[in-house]
Amino acid sequence: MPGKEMNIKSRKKTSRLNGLRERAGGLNKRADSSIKSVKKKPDAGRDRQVTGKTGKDSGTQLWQLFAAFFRIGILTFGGGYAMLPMFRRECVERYGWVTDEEMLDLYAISQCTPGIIAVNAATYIGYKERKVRGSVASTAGVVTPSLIIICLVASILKKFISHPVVAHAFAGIRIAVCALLITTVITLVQKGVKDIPTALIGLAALAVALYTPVPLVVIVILAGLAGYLISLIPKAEQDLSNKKGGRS
Amino acid sequence: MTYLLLFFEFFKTGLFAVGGGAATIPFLMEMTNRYDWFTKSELLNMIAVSESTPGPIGINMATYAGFHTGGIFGAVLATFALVLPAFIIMTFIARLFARYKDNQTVQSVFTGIRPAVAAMIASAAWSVINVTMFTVKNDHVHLLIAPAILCVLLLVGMNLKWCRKFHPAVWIGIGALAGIILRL
Repeated sequence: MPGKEMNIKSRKKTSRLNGLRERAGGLNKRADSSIKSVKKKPDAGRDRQVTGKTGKDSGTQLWQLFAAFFRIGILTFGGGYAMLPMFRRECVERYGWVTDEEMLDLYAISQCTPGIIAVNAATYIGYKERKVRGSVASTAGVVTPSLIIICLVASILKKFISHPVVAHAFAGIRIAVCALLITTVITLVQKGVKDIPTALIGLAALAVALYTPVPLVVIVILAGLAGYLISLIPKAEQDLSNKKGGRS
Repeated sequence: MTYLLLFFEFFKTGLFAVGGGAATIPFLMEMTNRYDWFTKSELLNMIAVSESTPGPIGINMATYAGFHTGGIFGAVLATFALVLPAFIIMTFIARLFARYKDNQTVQSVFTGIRPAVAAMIASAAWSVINVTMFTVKNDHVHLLIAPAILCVLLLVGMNLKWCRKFHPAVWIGIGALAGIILRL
């Protein structure tokens, strides 16, 4: 059938074009960086190479995944939450791989699954962009700084680590992480709290997290349940009015 | 043989340590009891170092313990073993999510989850602030002046119009310099 043939042909053409675009994208990037000061880049995903698809057509290069997560890994000082500002900067703002909302979803899932959030996030985003090879690239990226630095510290740099200058530097770094976290939290709260029900859930979760020993997994599950139940309310109201209408 | 055990132990740790890097510590404690790879005091040292080096704590711990046990190969093996369970699970979840992302029920569930997660992150941020900015002396909670001032300055700086585009690395670098200069 002629129509079907054309579909296949146009699909092949599109994927070839996307391949070309991917290679050209590299050139565009170089051109962009030279006029960076003049051109104003859009905020989200400013380095994103267009398509929004996944797999080879996504335009995301494997080395970009590795490099982005390498940068995230090397700037994470502390536990899982400490990586959030860097993670947001690279994956939401720079490459647009996820939105703020998806980031929150990722954090929630990470609380319920084994593994640290850095690895979970890396694997998820890598897979979303470039399937298995992508997830390998991104996970390798997030893990490599630790491998290199710890091996160095454990062998040659042992004395360096106990130098007082290092301790002072790290005290300062911890404060910078605090400030970064505060900024990131404010942004994320704005993304998570959109109306009164979500505000109530947020406040309840905050109270529980701060003042009770309830595990975070439980909080996530209960919040999800609450979200689901609340979504049933308009439907229930509609069913009720339908029934009434039907009867009269 | 040690390498096989190392892999097994860290794979187990990676599989059962739900929720974060700190959850790996009990498993590492177990390892000090069962094997002669490292002692408890060495473990405490590893924890201290892992908290003070770049990189997520969980990964740092695995790398350090692995290196201590079996050199560079041990470090790579332990880290790989720790990461593998999460890698496999998240791959499945990524596929699931791609398929059910647009499902109404899933969306409403996550609409409820998001504010809770934001709150959880806020509470985690609060405990970091607590530890960094406050100290307890004579049963009173004191605000540490220098850190608090630095934090406020950094916050102001981060939100200045022309500074907003800076990479977080810039602020971390400034924090490190300030820490050295002010001897925090």
